[in-house]
Amino acid sequence: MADATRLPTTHELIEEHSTLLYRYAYRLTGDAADAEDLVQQTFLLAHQRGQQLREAAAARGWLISIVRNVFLKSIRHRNRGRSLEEIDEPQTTDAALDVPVHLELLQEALLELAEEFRSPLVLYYFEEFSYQDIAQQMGVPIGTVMSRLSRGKAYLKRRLTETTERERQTVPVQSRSLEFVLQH
Amino acid sequence: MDCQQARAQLELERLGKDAAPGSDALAAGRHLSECDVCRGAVASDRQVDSRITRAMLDVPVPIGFADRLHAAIGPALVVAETPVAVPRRHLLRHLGWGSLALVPMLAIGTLLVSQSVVLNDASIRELGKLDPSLLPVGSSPGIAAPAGWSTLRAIRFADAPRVATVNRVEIPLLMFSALGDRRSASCTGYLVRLPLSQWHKVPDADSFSRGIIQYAAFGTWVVWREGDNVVICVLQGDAHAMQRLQDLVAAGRQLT
Repeated sequence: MADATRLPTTHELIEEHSTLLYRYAYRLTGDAADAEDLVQQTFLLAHQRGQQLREAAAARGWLISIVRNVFLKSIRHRNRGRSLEEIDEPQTTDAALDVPVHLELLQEALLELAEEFRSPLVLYYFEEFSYQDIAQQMGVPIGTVMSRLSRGKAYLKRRLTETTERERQTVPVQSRSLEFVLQH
Repeated sequence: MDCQQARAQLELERLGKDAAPGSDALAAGRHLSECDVCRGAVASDRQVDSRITRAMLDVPVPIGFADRLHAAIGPALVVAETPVAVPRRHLLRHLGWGSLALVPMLAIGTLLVSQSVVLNDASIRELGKLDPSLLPVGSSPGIAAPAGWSTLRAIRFADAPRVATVNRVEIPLLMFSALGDRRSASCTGYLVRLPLSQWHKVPDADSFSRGIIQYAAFGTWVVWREGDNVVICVLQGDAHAMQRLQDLVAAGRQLT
């Protein structure tokens, strides 16, 4: 019978969480090589700091927080994207309706956002994290997470819509075929 | 409550769906039941949300990614999980004064063991911490380059090997630099050649290009067997630099 209180080994953590961590890292960095390095550093740190993990159920959040911390260190001297002040309060516009999602454009739009918006958005759309989880990850109150999510989502939708509209007008055939691919 | 306010309220509810509904929520719900435009907009917005969710998760994980992680963590695990030695004080209590007689015997034993020491990935990590350009130049004859490497114009070897000392064993290193191209930067590294008996196991890979890339803070390394030897390539570069080097060597060997 499996011991529910037993903490996972690093190899078990890799088996269970490496895919989620890689996707998160990729969405943060926008680069496959950087994402791979980020996840590798995360597991090395997790291995060194194994005693920090007190219960198996907390492993996923703990690993995500390591990914985020390593990423934040790596971008300390880089352009950190659009800040809170630069992003407007969300406006409801009908232009945001019926948007086909272009994968590259989605990543481009994410990278334009400051990490404080990007991280909660990614975790929100992964649908595996509650607002409480995200608030804990970010070290901010739940209201702040909701506000950032609201602004971030509005920005993302506006950005995806604007470009899609432009593509529709300039390259209708390519745009429509892309729409088809994404919708199926 | 107008359309703008109702949709903002509904969005907030959606974000904080576990929160108890207040009077604003009820008002927004009433507005939604009466306004066709908002109902359509909210439904469409949720559809967009689900499309973004699908797209957000659409990140292909590289082939062999988990294996590479296991390989990177593996050597560290061996080090970390080595049982802690019995404290000497405890041992002496059991052995008493007779233990003094063991001291010269242990010293002789240590010397003998150091002559036949077996290296492993942890040793390579130790080696990787050293700056090879600061190591002494060895007096022994040069190390043979691995099969297929010496004909590659993009790789330049140092004239004489450097000598590193790990676990009291002197290890000659053959330094090299791999020239970059339009897509990649130049990188430097070194090669180690050991008898098979001096490596902790027979490597699975029978060529550099087939070896698994292993990671550490200092860079990456690949271990493979070549005849009766184990060859180790250590690169002061990331996995992608090593991958490029593997591709370069594989392509060179195909051409020749």
